Amino acid sequence: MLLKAEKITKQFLRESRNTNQFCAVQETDFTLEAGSFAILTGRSGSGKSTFLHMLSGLMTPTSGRVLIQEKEIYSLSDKDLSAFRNQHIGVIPQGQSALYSLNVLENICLPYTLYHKNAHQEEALALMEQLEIAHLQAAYPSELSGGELRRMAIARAFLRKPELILADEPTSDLDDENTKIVFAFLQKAAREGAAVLAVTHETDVSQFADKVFCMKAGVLTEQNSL
Amino acid sequence: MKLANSLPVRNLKGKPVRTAVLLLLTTLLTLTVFGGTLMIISLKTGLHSLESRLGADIMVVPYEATTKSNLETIVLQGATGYFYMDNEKYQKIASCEGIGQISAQFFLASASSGCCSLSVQIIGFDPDTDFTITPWIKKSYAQNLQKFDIVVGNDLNAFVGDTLTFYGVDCHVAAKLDKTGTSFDTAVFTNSETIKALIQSSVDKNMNEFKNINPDAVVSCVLINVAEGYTVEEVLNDINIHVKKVKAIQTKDMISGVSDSLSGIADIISLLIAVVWIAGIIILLLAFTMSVNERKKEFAVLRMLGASQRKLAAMVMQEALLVCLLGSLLGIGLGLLILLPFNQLIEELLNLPFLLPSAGQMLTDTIAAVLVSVLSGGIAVSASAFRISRMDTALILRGEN
Amino acid sequence: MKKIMIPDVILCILSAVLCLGTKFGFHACGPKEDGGWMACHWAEQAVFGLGIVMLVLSIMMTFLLKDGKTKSGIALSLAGMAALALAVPNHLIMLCMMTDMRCHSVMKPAVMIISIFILGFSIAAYIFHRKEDSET
Repeated sequence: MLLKAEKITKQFLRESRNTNQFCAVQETDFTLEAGSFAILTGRSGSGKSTFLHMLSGLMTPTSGRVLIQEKEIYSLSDKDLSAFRNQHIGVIPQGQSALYSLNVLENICLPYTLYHKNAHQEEALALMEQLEIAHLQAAYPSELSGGELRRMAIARAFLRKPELILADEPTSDLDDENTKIVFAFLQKAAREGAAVLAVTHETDVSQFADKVFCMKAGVLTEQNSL
Repeated sequence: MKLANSLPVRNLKGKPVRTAVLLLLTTLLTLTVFGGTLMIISLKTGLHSLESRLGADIMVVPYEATTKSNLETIVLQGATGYFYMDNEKYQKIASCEGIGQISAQFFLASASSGCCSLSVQIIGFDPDTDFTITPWIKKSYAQNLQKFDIVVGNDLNAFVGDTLTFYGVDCHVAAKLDKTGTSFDTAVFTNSETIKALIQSSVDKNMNEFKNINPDAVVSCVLINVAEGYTVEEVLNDINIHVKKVKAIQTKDMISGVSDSLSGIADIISLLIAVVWIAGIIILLLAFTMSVNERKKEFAVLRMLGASQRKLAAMVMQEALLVCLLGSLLGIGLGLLILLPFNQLIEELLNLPFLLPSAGQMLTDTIAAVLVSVLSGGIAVSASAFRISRMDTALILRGEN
Repeated sequence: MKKIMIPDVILCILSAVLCLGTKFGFHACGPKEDGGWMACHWAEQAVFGLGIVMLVLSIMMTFLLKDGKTKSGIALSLAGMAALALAVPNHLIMLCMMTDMRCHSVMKPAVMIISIFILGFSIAAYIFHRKEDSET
């Protein structure tokens, strides 16, 4: 059991009135095995991203626990949790996530350089090769297209070979062809042993996944796909 | 390794305009702090130097010298002029009670000579009794002055070995004095023997205002240090009552006008430093806040990739400190570029004694200015650094899409 | 290689400041009461003359010439002339008797600072144009 969420909930205060609480994610249990690829769908505002962020260690749940490799991540100090995320969790966020003052290769090597480790440039280049952006290594993010930027973010998330990959709408602004490339890549990562969870709006990608979940008004249900 | 260390540097390079504006700000901040304090220090050094040059408690001059306000312009503003009183006055003064040290001085102004349109103040002292000028000259010239040897002030464009001609008499430059930042820098000093010869020559050539004086029978002023057990006021009053046609002046009173306007200027400069400093910190605070806000998403991404709160704060801090350090060095460079070459001009504009401090003190001032501006930058950025470390990463990662 | 280099333009500006400034801005002491000039006037004239030649050379280097070798040669000569201008006030040509006079307190430091900057920028320009030449 690589990832295990126990009864996690998230409540937000809406507007300024303290009484009006909004429950983004209702008490939810969730597990993800190493080597499996899960897809999470749902309408906008259904709580998917909130759920994903709680799993990634970026948002403390109102109640419940998140365990990764038997470790309760929210009991760690910020320093330890950050280091843990750096090493074990690859996050692919929504939208743009490039540092515009660094070139593509430097952006991809960030997970290492943040921790003063030697940048593993060969590994980065190999990943870029697979994602077909190797020729862009010296380019700057402002010169890249949306699809190329997204593939850069994916390469960055995979650089430290994390056991858990969390992707938040990794293909939201991509065309069909790029979408296929990305999902095939995520599937391949799962085959190689990582646990992958992707939030998506795409309807025709369930073929890549082992499991499909759906979120509706903060409630998670598993769909019997295929 | 290299990249992580230089991540702040890369961020700065990535936004050249923002970095340039921040640099300009810190440069100006340091320039005012550094330049301002250096000016205040120089004024105080100048005043101190003037005090030690006057070096006597009481100055006695002929009464008409004070009414023509001759004396102050000569001593404080570097104008040229001369006046004489009979030698017997000197004897009378010397016989007053409470005199510790006493020495006579002789003044003469050179006629405008061929090279320059301005005349030079020549001050003669009696090497046997002098206690104000000799200690100063000894710093540059250890031997005794021979007849027709002169010592020139630092602001005179003459050097050791040169010959200057006054009233047809050739004088040999034996030494050049250290800079004092006072009117004495443009004067020429010599012993009584030489100046008597020069006065005689000026009378012979009919170029002296005082037509028929006998150089051996006159002095220009008498300097006095009060003996122990007497107050300056007692001796001063004693002289003013018992010796006719002379005026005894407390040198402290002469300087008080100078030190008053000096403290006025020092206050204005201090106020300016305070205003610029406070305004500088506020502007830096705004600039850093804006720059950090603008880059929230970037910081959120770093957080997502595993940067801890402390790391992010350190990064923001490093960027700011780097800019401040660079800016302060630029500001100091600029300040030195203005103050060092143009210090003479500043002295004239202020019309006050102005003496740059020693290299050691300048270095201390430099280090202090760097520390002040780096510290200001640190204070200004600390709020932003704290805020960025506590931001809601998840919200930002999502919100700006 | 037709790009106009920033150091070249700065050199043009600095040379203009040097020759116009010495004459009209930070000039030396004025004439004596009898209409004659003091020593510093001749230093002013010398710097003015040097400034004109430097201005012409730097304009040629910036806007008229194309060849990198020629440009780097001109940059070197500008450096030499700047060093000369630096030495003129009070070293090659004596200034007035008292250093609190205008020629000492205004002209000399101004000429010194501008000359030092010209020296620096002309060395930079020399290096740039040498590189430019070796690239072609």
